[in-house]
Amino acid sequence: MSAPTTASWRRDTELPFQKLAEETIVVDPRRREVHLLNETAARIWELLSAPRSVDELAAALGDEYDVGEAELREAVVELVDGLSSKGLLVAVGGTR
Amino acid sequence: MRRKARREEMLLSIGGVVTHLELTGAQPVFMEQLRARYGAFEMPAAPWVQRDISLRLTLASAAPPGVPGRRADIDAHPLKVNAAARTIAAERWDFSVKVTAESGQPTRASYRGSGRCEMNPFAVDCMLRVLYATILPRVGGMLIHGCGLRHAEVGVIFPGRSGAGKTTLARKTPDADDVLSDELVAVRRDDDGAWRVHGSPFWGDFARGGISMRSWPLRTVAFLEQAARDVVTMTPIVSSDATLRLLGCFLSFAVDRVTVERNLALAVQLCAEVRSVEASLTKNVPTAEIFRKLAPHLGPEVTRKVPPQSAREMISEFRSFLRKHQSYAFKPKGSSMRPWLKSGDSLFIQSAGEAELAAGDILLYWSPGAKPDDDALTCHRMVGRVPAMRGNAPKFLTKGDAMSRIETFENQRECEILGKVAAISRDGKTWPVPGRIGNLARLFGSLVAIPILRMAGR
Repeated sequence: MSAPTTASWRRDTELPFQKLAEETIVVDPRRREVHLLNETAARIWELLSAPRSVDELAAALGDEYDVGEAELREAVVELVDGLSSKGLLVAVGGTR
Repeated sequence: MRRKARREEMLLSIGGVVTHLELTGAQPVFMEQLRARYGAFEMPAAPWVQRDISLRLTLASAAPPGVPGRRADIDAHPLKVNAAARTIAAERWDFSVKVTAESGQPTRASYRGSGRCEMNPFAVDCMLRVLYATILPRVGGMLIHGCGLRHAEVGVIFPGRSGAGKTTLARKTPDADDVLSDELVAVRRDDDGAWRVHGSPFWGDFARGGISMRSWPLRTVAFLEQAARDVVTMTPIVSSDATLRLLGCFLSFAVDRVTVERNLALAVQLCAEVRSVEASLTKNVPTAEIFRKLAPHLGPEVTRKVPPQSAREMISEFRSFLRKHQSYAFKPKGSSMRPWLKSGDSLFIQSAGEAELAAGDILLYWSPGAKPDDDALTCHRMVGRVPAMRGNAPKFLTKGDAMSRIETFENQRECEILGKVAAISRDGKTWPVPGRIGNLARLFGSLVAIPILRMAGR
């Protein structure tokens, strides 16, 4: 399942997390799981403190990463998919 | 007329957290079982000792394993822990307790409560694990699922899940007294902010835990991994990876947001401040080889003497030496026994049961204070004994030779008699305390290699 690209996402505010130097650790007490987010995933996690769509995330990251627009968007979709499949994100609305 | 239920008490200090247990209905054999397990962490239960947890437990006979309905009862009442800001409640088929915080200081807890428990050491152990795992993080510490070892003057923890090799590591440690626990160790900051590892009475299959309350500076966290071959490798890992691994070994029964956030923050701090490695090894690798490979990751001066964190730790360690060797030497300080004792004298102490003590003996006893650094080792002359009367426990009367005041105390409660002076060493000469000549040869035979514990050096 891939993340709907027009939907908005936000991080699950119930999940405790701790920001490290570059990475972020997110704990899911309900599933008794701990996730270590790499630098890019951690940045997306940070951006998703407020609801954002994949397009909005890609636009925000465009200035920070030296990569083509299509490639960046693909990476964002993949990361949002990954975070979502682990139960770390909440879909806020919208359709694919 | 119904007989009044027996009431016993225990005061335990684990990871610096002091718990007073008042046990109603405890049978002597059950108390023996508890003391066999927690004896190294027990201290005199004097009412003036600051307690972090005060728990009144009403004990009931343990149900025999095969009793009808027992299995269903166990299945219907698994462990449930509810930790709120001020209350902690835990229940299982064999116990139910609730404690409430009376005051909240960042470095000290003060919980009071009550509950019921089956007269089964496993039930008490589970209950204590829950309380310590929940309360230690509230005062800046944690219980880590790992094998803790003392190495020279420092401590190392080897966290790992079940089957990772913690007990195997403990079993092959040459001196079993260096094992702080093969199952759960307490880790906590000291007053200077440095992390220390404490032994615990929470054992795994090694079937024994730490021998005293003594803690050691935590130098390295070595996460256990099974190697494919009998070769040891120690691979440094970054703090984020270490945090991730540590969280998997962080004993926590509560899953509320505040608890998880607190535990996460502690794990991050610990892993940011203490070296972490992945220790890849097999059960066939000798401990010496493990520490040879670990040496570059332990930091400098691992043999530099480190004083105990508090007087309480020091006395507890002294008691463990005495229990092990039956005799030990130390240098007292103070002037309460002048002129019999002079500055620089060394005393040879011998373990002694209450029945062996008589008026005139010089006793060494643990006088607990309110705080860990208020505890003292007192060396005074026994002047008498008040037998048990009208339900009161027997009392010992002691006096410093240079003092006029006679002290009275209940052994094991207000103070704990560790032993009596068997010989004294002054200016290079040693002589027995009068009446103890017969013991001297035996005593010196066992003291040859025993270092003197310097009270003043702490």
